Amino acid sequence: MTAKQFAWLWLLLALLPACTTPYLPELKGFEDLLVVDGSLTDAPGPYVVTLNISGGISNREYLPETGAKVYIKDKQGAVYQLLELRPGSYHSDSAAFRGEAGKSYQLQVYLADGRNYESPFTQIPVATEIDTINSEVAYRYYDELKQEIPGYQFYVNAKTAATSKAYYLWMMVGTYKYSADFTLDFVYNGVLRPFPDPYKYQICYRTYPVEEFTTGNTANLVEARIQRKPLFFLRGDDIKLLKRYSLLVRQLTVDEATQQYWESARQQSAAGTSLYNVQPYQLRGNVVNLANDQEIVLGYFLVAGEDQQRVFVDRPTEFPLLERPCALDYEGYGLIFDTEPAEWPIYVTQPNGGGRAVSGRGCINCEEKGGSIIPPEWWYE
Amino acid sequence: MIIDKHRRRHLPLVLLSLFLLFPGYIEAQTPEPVIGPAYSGISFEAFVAKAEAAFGLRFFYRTSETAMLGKSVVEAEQPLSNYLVRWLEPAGLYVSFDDRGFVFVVKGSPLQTHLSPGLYSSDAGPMQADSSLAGSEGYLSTSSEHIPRIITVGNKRDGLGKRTMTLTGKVVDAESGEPISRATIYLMELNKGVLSEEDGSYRLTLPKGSYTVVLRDYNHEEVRFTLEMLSSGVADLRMIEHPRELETVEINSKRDNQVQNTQMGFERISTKLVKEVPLVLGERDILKVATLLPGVQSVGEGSGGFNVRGAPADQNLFYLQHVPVYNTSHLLGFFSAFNSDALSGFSLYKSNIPAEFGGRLAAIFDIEAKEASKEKFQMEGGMSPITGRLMIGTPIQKGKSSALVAVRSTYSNWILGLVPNSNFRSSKVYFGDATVNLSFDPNPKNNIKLFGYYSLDNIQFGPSAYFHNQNLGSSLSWLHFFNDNNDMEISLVHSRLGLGVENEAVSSEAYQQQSALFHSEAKVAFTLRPTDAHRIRFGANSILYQNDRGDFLPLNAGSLVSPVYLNKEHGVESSVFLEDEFTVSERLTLQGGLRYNVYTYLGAQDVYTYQPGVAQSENSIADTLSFGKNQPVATYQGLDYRFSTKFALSTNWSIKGSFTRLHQYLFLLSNTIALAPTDKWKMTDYNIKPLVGDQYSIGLYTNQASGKYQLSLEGYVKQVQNLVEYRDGANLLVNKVAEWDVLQGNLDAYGIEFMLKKTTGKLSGWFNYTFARSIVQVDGGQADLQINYGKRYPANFDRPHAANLSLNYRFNRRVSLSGNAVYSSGKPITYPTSIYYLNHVQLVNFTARNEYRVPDYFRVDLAMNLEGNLRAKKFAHGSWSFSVYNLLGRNNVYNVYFSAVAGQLQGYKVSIFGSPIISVTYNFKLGNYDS
Repeated sequence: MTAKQFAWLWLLLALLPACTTPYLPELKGFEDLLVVDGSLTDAPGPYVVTLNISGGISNREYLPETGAKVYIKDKQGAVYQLLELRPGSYHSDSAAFRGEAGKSYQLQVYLADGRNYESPFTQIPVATEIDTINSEVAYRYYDELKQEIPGYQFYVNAKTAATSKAYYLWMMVGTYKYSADFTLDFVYNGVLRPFPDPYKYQICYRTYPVEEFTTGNTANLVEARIQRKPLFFLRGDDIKLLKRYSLLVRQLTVDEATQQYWESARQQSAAGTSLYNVQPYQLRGNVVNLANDQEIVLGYFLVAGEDQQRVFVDRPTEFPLLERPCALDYEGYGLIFDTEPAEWPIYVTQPNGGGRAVSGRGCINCEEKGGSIIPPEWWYE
Repeated sequence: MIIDKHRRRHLPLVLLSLFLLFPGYIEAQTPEPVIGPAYSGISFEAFVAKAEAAFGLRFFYRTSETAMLGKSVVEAEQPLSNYLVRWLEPAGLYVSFDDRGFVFVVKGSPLQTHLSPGLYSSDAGPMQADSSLAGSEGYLSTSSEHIPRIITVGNKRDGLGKRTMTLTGKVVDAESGEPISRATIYLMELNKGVLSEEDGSYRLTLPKGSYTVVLRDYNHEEVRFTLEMLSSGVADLRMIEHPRELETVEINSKRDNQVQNTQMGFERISTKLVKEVPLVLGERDILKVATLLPGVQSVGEGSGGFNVRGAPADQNLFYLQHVPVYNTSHLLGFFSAFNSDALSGFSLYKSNIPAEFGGRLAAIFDIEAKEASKEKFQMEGGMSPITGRLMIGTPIQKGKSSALVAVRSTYSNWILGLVPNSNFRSSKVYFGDATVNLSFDPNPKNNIKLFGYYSLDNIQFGPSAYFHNQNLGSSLSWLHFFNDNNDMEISLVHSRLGLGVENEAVSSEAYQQQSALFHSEAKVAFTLRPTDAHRIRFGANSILYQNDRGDFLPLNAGSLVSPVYLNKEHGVESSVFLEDEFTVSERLTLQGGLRYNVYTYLGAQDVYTYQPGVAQSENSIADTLSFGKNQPVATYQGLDYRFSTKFALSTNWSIKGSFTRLHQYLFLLSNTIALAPTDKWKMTDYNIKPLVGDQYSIGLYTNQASGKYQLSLEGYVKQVQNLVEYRDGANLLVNKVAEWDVLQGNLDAYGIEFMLKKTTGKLSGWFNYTFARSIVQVDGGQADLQINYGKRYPANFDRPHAANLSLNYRFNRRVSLSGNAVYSSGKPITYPTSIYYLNHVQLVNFTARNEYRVPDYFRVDLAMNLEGNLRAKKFAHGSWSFSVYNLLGRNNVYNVYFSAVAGQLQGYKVSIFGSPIISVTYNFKLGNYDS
């Protein structure tokens, strides 16, 4: 029983009058804290370190820390500089530098304002290989919907680790195939022209980072082998499961301190309804200001051995049909000729050769939903 | 109340009246029975038989005392009473009548019987029907007993030349004969009072003279009488159980006269009071009432555990009839683990804890188990939406021994079946408890009690998680009276707390863990009263702790969990104690107590030593020490001491001060917001030091309007050293080496408590307000030995302002209405201040620990109690309780948490009872309303 389940059982005993309502306390403000998010593995680069300033809890503005000098240094003294390719995003040259298992590395950051930071030297552990990734149809209860939703539960089975105590962090990248609801028959650009290939923007592929991670270890296992570790639940009512889905699992073999940090981070991000919650607390990463160790630096420089594996799933036939939000607007078609250039191009569809209509842009051109009509090179049906 | 000069306890109650020291004249009744020569020349027995037949009278006398009387000589018509006086007085016999036609003939010293008008204060209720004697002289007659207004003790001859004399005896319930403990016997002229002991006995030393005595107990009607002390003697004082508990709602502290005793920070709650307090889900819960008292806060709404005067919940010790109860709640804290039917009440000590108690810093809850009547069969029970309960009490050998059995159990999982979630439908919830209490009085000098307690919780959540907890405890105690002044109590106690968890949510990580804490204790305590000025209590106890912290094991063959064998701890805590209450003068009383503790943590254990000055962790181990079985691993000694003083400013005003130092050797491993069922006890060991607590208190007390209003103001300052706090993110389930996950720091608490009670009248109740702070600091000098950067932070249970209003209004004997209003500051919370992203996952940065507070708490409850009819002759009596908890439906915040919704951090507040909770309970018992 998880703490959360326990909590709900408890609430139930009160004949269900318990309730959870939105609430935003008044806060005195927030501090501008440096956030370091970077990683180095033994997989090919480029390795990326982002530096930015933390935002307030309802302020999502990205504030990059630009103009810094960022280095990765190994214990033998070799130093590799990362270059700022986008504001606040510092990249290694994948041709010039690759992490090696067994070697120890450290991050060094010199901000433009003169403050200096570094992480401790950390060795890249030997990566444990992934054995298999499984997916199973499962049902999960969603409190906010008051019902169970079917979906895919992904599990990882790792091979036996090289050491009896192995520590892991799993990160995931998803790719999904999806379709626009309507064909692209005409494009209005000041002039209405027929579109030569109405099905061109019907099918797209989109890759995105899964905004979840999980951690685990073999410290309490008889055999240093992780089996059926739940990774991630993909809801069946999500557009990502409209047609076909691919999950890339990155299994990162890390040291104990790193796993503890990320597990704490995971718990804090998932902090939920449990009445038996562990107290939230300020989580400090492994990057410190050398001149002022009281300065709070958020984030982590992750050093890991990496293995990857990919799995594909299709939408199960037993899943209920996905409700599509797209609707046809026949009257709207008559208004497109009064639009301003800033609104162009306007996509027009003509279902079954009948009347012309407009709809949401993504409903006619799938690339408008962030994907690409070109499948990734590794994609297969 | 009846004076039983000869202490012949086994006579029928009414016959006991024979031994009253009655005056030598008879009340004039109208119409007065008149006798004539027809009554002449017969024996006393024949005379009695004739008079009983003629006038419907009933005589009570001892044949041994009337055997010496000669034949009657009635020469002319005359009132019966006049003749009886003339006939019997020369033989040293005294006669008295009551309004029901009872005639008592008793041998002894004469007793004046003019009435104290104060006895007729009753202006309503059952007394009235029976008070035809009101205004007359002689005796107060109640539905069940007769109470003299003047008691004369001893005789003038024995008292010649003596200035001070001793009065001893027992305070007992007139109906059941059960002793009444902690009743106040107060002499108004001397501004002096004593409390009766556990066995009801009392002792007073006082100068020869006449006094107004007020006898009070929270369960019984107040009695006032005049005491004429002629010489030393014995008087047993009888009190009549209050037929309308809440008309004189003695919701007050039982150590009744708060102005006169030395006890501070003391409260007493009776089960009777709990009858009237609004319920949650219809369950009576005596301990929940504690949270309406000043300085006591619930850990969370519906959670188990209390925070007393700014201390964590594990600094409280609950004793149930000598048995320590380590888990005091059912179902995650929703209900207390005690069936109120089996309890008579509890005493809460939160300031100068008596020296006979030790081992916890904050408070002692001394819960008294109900004892069955040795005279009559009793049965009562009830049904609520959740449970059914039954209590049966029966004499085994009438007047000598009795047995009480009380059981309570849930009877259904029906609520879970209503929920549209397969997890709930496959869940099962069960809890129950049982109490057995046997009491033997082989003779008046000895009492033996055998007590047993069992409570059980089984919770299955969904198909994959189980929790099962049990408490098992028993005690055997022997109370022996050497004489009226000195007694001894020996007790043997054993208790076991078992916690079990099984979880197979992830099949490869399916685990189980069973832990158990055993507590075995032997205790002897003596009470001596060498002079009237001293009351000395001393003794010794020894506790053997066996703490199986619970191996972490794979649940089944498919699990890959590797067993983690957590150590089995053993330890012995032994103490000797001595306490003396010294009445220096009428105004000044001093009390001092010492308790010397020796605690030894025993092997077999392997313990680590660490490099000094760094955090204790796997990386800082310097050496491993191995200790064999029962070999001392670490020994800690401590002297608990307490001192208190009372100074009476006047009859109605006093000031008190106290200081206490205590040690604690056990603590609870918990780092959750509420007390969780997985929290486990841990013993202090080689690396974790005992907790030490100091408390200073000062208080001002007054009783006004003859005790109708009681007012107190107490302030305290507390300091706890070696408080155990958890490092951030500690894993407590498989916390193999405790010191790797904890740090020890300091707790500073201080506060002021104001309490106003109204104890009598149709409207009764109390109001209290508390200002209190509780601040923690953990600063080992460097980052990994600090929490919150070493800065002070409010404890999780720091709530500066709290106020409680608890009122009861009794319309008549059958209908009463009661309500509570509860306010407190919100508890501290750590809020997020900023968001950031790691690998595209949104994370939250939090404030300093407990920098913010959740919104304030406010709740109103209402209850109506309806009693069945008041017919005297009935087989069984029923009553209904209708309760509304959280009448205003206020969404009091239990917790606030934040969750990312579509990339936006959204705050949520969780309320446990977001709407009013209505419940109905039916209670029944054998006999009538007063039974």
